[in-house]
Amino acid sequence: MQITFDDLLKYCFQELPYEQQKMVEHLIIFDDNYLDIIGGINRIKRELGSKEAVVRYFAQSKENLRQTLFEQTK
Amino acid sequence: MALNLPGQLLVALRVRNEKAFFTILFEAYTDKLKAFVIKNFPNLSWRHLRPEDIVQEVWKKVCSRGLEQFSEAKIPTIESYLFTIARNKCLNYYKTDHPIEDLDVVKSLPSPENIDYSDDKPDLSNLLHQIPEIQKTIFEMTLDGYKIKEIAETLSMTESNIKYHLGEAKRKLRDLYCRGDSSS
Repeated sequence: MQITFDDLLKYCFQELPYEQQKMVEHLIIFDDNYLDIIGGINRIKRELGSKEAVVRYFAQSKENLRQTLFEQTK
Repeated sequence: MALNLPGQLLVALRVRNEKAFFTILFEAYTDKLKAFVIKNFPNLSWRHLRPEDIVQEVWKKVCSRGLEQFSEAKIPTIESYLFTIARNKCLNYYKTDHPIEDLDVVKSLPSPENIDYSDDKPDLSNLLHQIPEIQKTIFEMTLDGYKIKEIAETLSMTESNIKYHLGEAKRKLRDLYCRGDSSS
């Protein structure tokens, strides 16, 4: 079962079902990368406040990155 | 949640569909990589860099090497491979003004399929109550996205002290988790 970025976002906003929450916590405990990812999301959460703003932030930056990559490969 | 990333990647790999392969990777990891960079290297902006720039460097590296680099055996380690590239890119930017070629290191991580998520495993908040208060505080601040330096300033401790306690916190949490110890 794959943990998606949406799952990690939900974890940071305490919206994940208990079973999946434990999956994420397992990853946090055993994989430093996941500890860092959750830390990164929480950092943005602290700066922007609402979940909507955090989602918008990551969506916008992903779209910008996609555009840049496509332009570079034209 | 039902996304089977390794399976999807394997299908794209077998039909040699480079665009599909890259799109799946891009969708699955762009946000994760960005959050990873934000947490680990929040001060990149002093070099006029944004986290997106590092993530873009990662994808450029993946694209430049092409689909050929990914054998079936490498699919399970793609995640650690991508994070390693991101970490090396960031470190290179910190070390010099001109990034050097990053190391092609693929470290193995436990496969999510092999992890036991059974109900008898304690949750993180229970485990945190069983480690020393200072280690609990440092681990929680790390989880909240604070850097070692910021934690050191807040707690009036040295950075090496913070690193030591964070390492101890991780070690104890892993021990407690493996023992399935949820008692307080």
